[in-house]
Amino acid sequence: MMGLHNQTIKVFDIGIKAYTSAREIKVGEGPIVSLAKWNDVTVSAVKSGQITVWHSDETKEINALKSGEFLSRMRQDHQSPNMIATGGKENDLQLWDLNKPEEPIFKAKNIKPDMVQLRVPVWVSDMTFLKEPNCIALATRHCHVRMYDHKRQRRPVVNFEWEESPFTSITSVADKSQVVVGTAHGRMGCFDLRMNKPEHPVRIFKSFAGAVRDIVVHPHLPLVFSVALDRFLRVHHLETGKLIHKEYLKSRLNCVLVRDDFEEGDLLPTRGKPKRKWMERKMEMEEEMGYDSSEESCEKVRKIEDDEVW
Amino acid sequence: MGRRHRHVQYEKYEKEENNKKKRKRKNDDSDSDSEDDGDSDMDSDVSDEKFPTLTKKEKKMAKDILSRPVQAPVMKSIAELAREKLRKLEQMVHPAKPDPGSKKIKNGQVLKRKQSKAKRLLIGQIRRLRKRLKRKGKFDELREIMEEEKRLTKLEPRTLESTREADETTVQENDEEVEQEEALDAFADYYNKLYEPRILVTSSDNPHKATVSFIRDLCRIIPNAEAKWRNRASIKKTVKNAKANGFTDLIFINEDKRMPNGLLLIHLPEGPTALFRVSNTRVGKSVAKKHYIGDTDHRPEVILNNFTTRLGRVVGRMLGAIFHYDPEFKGRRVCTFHNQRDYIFFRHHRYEFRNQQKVNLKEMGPRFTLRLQWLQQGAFEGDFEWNLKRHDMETSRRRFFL
Repeated sequence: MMGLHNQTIKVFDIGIKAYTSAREIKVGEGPIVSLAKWNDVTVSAVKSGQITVWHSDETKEINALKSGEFLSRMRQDHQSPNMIATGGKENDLQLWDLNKPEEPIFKAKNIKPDMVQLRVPVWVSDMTFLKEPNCIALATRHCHVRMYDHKRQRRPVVNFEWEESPFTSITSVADKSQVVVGTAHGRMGCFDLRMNKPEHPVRIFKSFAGAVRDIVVHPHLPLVFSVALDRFLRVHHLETGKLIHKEYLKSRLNCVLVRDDFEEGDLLPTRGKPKRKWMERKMEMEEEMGYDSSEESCEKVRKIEDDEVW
Repeated sequence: MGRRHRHVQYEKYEKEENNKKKRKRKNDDSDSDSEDDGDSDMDSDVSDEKFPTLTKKEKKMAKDILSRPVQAPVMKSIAELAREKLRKLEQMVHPAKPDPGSKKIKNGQVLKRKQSKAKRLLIGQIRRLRKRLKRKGKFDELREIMEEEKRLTKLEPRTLESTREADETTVQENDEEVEQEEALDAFADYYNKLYEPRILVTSSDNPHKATVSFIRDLCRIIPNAEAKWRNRASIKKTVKNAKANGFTDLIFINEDKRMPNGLLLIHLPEGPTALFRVSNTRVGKSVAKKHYIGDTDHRPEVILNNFTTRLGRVVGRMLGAIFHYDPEFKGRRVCTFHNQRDYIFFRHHRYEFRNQQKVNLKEMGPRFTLRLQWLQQGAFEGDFEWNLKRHDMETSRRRFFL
């Protein structure tokens, strides 16, 4: 399932290799920022802050943007799918329960003003739920990485800065309290949030030329899939940090999804050609629809689908 | 021993006779006469007195040999010979493995592999034939042979460009995806001739003489460009105000040590931003000292050379979109952005065609070279589409990105 810039949701079936359905939603303003699935119902988040749960009979709406400029991300907790986290520009982390759409369960508080007594600006770019219960890690475009424990305190438990480049994406490494963070200048680092000095990256992944847009860590294999604006998909080894596979995919990439049953043997260089054909078919279909296809946001479905782009 | 030998000879002779008979059956009339004549000749030429030791068969053999018409050796002209040899040479050049024998690169040295001996001999023969032609004074044929020879034997010089590492992102012709993406990108409007570009050129605060003259030159060559003093304005605010005032592109020249060293090109309505490092600037007047033409109002043509990769294509489009989409060919002005090894050379010429093949070029206007530092999506904000990381990317001398 993928969400598009022009507020359409489309479903692509890998088995058939074609779009199965498309649906336009007209909520608020701005592109679709994130999608989630709950009880077989789609939840969509739009940049202007409206999160809508599309039940079959009625739609429940959550206004996640009571303050701030716009919403940049909404993520769903895989362990308890009724919990979602939202964040945006000047809009700090908020945790919502989809059963109670009126008030957020948890609203984060900004850290203390800095040395010069100025308020530290907040621009959440991405968040991820950690394996530890109640913990959420966050990356901001002002180069902060933060971890919140919503049962404990409203201020972040861990907060550090890395580099001078805004962060664009963050993912958690399964079964550990580690996160992989990507920047807008093309750097990606793995951090351990439970260590004494979390600001020293455990490992840095190299070879990017453009901003890292989306990162996925494989659930059991030590692989990190990342997708960047320089039109390449890269697979690094989690433990050693080496680049295992690099593939040129002609468009500016935005999202990546990885199949649950992905094996290492799937990374063959010959795969390039069938992938590209598939992409071309995609482009044709998009042409028919006639919209701005250069940017799309997509959703990470727990089960499947596909390891690509868009 | 002798007898055996004679038998062999006879066998040969018999074979020849049989062949001749076959041939005779095919060509009936022509040979019968000669046969008759031959008989009489035999008596005269191969008579018993002169050659008493020959047997009858031997005489017959001799008669046959004598009666065969003397074939004058076909004299091929030198040019024809040369052409034949060239054709042979062409067949020797294996299309899949073009020859320049330079396989090994050991410690930075290049070792040449020997061409095959037959090929070398052939090339030598052709060369000698060519020289003979020259000596004989046959210049037309000489030219022809020379061209062919050059085509087949001249090795492509090994330069960094010719041995460039193949880039995955090179744009192939008729690439659908690229075309579709370009139909939707920030410059689609310009290339569809929907708006005329309007440029604002400015520099950092307190520019010195070189930078000021550089800005003046830029405003002179780019149609519809305005220069303004910076007055300590911030880039983000300038972007906002320029958008409001209808500018389509912003150029900021950065200065260091009293010389221009950076060019920030911002395409305005949410367009990409590119930072170039500027070097080797030469002012218009110093380039065109003797024939400085001065200001012309004609809109120039733009040539974008050698932007092969996907990134290069984006950059090339960006640079081309600064100039007006409709050049005035009457003015015979051309601005060239030539990309070579990731350095973009800018030149400005006035051309005049003497005939179909020959052009006169007079250089006017400034010269400078650009090198892309980064390309950012969004007008001075947003994620970076490409970032030059020298330590990571400048590992190979043969790897280029544009």
